[in-house]
Amino acid sequence: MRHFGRIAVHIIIVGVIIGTLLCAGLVSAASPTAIKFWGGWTGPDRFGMEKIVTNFIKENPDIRVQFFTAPWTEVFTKFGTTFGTSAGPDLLAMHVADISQFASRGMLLPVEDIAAQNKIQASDFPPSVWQGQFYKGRQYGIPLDYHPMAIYKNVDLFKKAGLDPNITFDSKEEFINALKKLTVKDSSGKIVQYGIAIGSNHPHTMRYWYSLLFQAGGSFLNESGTKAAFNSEAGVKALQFLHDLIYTYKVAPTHESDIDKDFLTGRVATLIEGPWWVPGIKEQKGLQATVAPFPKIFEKPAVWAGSHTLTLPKQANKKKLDAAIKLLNYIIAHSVDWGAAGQIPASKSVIASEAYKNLVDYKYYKTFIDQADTIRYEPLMVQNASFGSDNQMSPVLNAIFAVILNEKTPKEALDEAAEEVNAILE
Amino acid sequence: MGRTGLAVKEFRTLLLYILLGAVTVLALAPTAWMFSTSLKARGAVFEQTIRWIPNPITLENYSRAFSSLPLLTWLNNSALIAAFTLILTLLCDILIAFAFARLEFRGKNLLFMLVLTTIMVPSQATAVPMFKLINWMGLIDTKTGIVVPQAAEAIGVFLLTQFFKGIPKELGEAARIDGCSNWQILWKIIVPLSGPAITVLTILTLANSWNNFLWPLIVAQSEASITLPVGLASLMSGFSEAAEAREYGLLMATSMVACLPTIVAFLVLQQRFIEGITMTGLKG
Amino acid sequence: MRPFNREQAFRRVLLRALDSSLLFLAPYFVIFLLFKLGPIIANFLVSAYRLDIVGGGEFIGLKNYHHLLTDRLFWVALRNTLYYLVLVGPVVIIGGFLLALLLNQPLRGRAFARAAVFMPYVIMVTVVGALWRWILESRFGILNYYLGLLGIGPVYWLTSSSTAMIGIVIATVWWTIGYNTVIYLAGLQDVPRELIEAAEIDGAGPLRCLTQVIVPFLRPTTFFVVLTTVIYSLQVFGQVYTMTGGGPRYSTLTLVQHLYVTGFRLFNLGYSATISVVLFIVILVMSAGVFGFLRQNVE
Repeated sequence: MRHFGRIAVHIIIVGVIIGTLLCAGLVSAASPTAIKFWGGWTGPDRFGMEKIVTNFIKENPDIRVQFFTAPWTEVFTKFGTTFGTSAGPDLLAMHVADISQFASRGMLLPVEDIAAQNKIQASDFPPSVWQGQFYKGRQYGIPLDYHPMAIYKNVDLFKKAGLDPNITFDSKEEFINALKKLTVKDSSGKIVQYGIAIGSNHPHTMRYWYSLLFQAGGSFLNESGTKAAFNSEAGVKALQFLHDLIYTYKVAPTHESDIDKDFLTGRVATLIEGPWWVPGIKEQKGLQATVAPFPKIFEKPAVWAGSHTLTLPKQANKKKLDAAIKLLNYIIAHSVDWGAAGQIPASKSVIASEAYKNLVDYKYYKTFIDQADTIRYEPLMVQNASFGSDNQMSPVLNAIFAVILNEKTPKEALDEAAEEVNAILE
Repeated sequence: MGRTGLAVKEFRTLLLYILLGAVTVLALAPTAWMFSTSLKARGAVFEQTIRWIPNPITLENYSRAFSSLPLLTWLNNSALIAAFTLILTLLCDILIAFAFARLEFRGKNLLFMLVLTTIMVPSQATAVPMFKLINWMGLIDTKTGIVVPQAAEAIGVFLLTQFFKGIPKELGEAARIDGCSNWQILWKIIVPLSGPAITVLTILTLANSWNNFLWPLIVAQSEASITLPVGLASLMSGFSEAAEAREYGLLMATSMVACLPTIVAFLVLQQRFIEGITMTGLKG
Repeated sequence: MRPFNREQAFRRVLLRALDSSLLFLAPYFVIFLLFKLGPIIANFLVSAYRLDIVGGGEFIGLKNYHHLLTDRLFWVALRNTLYYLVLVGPVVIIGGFLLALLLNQPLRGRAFARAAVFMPYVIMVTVVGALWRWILESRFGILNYYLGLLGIGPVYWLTSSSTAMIGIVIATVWWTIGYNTVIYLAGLQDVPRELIEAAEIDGAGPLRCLTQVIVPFLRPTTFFVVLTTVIYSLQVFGQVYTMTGGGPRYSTLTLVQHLYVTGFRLFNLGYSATISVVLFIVILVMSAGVFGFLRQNVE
């Protein structure tokens, strides 16, 4: 009798422990309209989006928004692993080049209706941005912004070198001469300041090359998008130029691992970055910078650009979906605020609006906007996830690193990468 | 022994002390450098000359770590997950080890061998089916999803079974004649006598759970379940464009917070730690 | 004779049921089946499917294995993993043994030194990664600073594909060598004094004593140390993930990193499982190799 009671107690304790353990996991926080909004902004622009979300919550006390941002590849990893569970995002930002990757898996909802409700029309956007929202004839994204690269110049260092800080670079010679003047040695002959930084393990390096590839008259894939075309003369020439900046002209440091910090601390005098860097530059005390279009090195101007878009992951919870759509509408309606955070609004009418033109930093943004006609996007196809500049394992990116690290010739490296891209495209 | 013999011996001793000192310094220097960096002001981190003692000493990195990162949430998740893992592991392992050591049933040896062979299979190698399973069970981004698979590790079963077998059988038999059930024998005789083995298993389970990386990296997706190692990794995944990846003052402060509990525990429980390692050969 | 009492009989049956081995086995066994044995078996099955992160799979037989042959990154990862093993293994095994010998000497402060050598081992891998990224930083890192004083460098540890793996190895040696040292120290405790004394009486110097008495005596310990070092080295992931992310130029891409990226970044779960089958087989073969080799040496 006594024994029996004790055994029962043991069993109950065990049961309770296992029970609570399971419950603790299964019952996650489920306030009726808590939604998750994920993005991959890690620069100063993230604070801009945080502000918009905070304002939205203030105006919509019935909706709780969890805003989460991390590097893009990590966000997509998370999106994949949480898809179909309550842990996944309800509103998700991505680059246009990523839409096909997720739309093809049926992970996104078509958004034509929402576009129509907000009077979002093709005519208000650059055609390339607009086309990027579609996969197999259905629209999956609401365009948010686009972001070409441009070159930032440290005003003080330019003045010290006897250069005009408002200079634009219109030829290879002009560019190299300026960088040479900006490369400074100390008394012992050691270089203490470089003209420019080219990251040896940074995705942006591929974007520099991508811009130059098109400047030299090349293209990334063939016209039908079935084969690599970048191992052309143009591609080699573009890559050779980046290599030469480091090893021939010696105006860029070798093994560069932190382009942003080096620019902020004055170790390098110029930096090629996107518009999201404008607020960051302004925050750095004692640093004055101007912006010029991406340097024109070869025949015609061209510059890499990406474009952010908002998508709705497929989900069963109608209430959350409605809340997510509400947030989406709000963000679109507050494009100017997003513009103030550094990204260039995709909508032509927003850019033309007085509110946008009155932004304090408009003078910087104008440089980016003026490049609109020369923009080149990465291919909008499923496979771009494998060889695009955001994938660390991308064969193209790594071929470029090989040259930047002086381990392969441009021709060798690009031929190899082309072979792998062809294999992926098959 | 002649004078030269003595000199050789003294020289040898001196050499050994130099070696001992060098080894100790090399072993401690990285951790000391982490601590030193964590106390430096933002501008003082990147300096061309190396300063072991920061000037000025500041706690700015720590306050920034706690205010700008969800460090408390990560700490909390890590602690809860370690505690739950411990409870579940002890419970399951004690019961089955008792069965293996003391009870007779068909296929016992076969079952024991089966459990043991899985020690050889790295959990890394089963990440994909585990993910599909956890996903199917709706346990993605939950603490449960991180805890339960850790309790499946077989090393504790092995350790306890061996230990239970070492306890004289007569102790149990006498009690059984007195009418005790297996449960009573287990709780009243075996468990109280197994203090050392249970302590070792406790320490190792806690340490392993605290330091576990790949599986939480796959399961933990939000503040509901992100643990310290995963949170820390999110600040600096090798390729990230995030500025935090290079903020070494902040990174080192966060790192200090993350590893301090295990370091303190190790210093207090040194002997047990080492016992545990030598008893099981468990490696993190 | 006792009168039949239904309540008591019921209790007796219940008691016996509660006391059966099944109840002791069940909790662990359920978890074991679901989360250990099941996944191990399922992994082989999954490797025969094209399985995406979303939706069900499609049976494709050995196609994933066929893909292995043409996947350059797989071979790079396999080579890197073995390269890492070749670099780390000898250092932590022989180094661990030598450290144990040193720490076994009757010296003052050796308890402190033992604790110091083992302590890094309890630090989590992401902290190890963060710390060594900072130490190996090429411009402001402390290692290059001291190397510079010796007139060496600067070495671009983690940003050059020829040295990145070495950087990872240095961090790993610091992190794990204490583990092997502790195992060897325990082994040294068991060497009988008489054996050493007998050898000394035979006129053996310290070196001969070491090679002819201690090393042979520690063979089982060495077997264990080699085996665990091989098994764990082949699974290297955390250091790589946090220090280099597999770069630069794949130079630190390892098998586990490759299967993680393939499965959870590119969502190709079927192929990821295939890589882990290979990892499993490599570990099995290498362990068997260690087993065979050391056993042969004993006989």
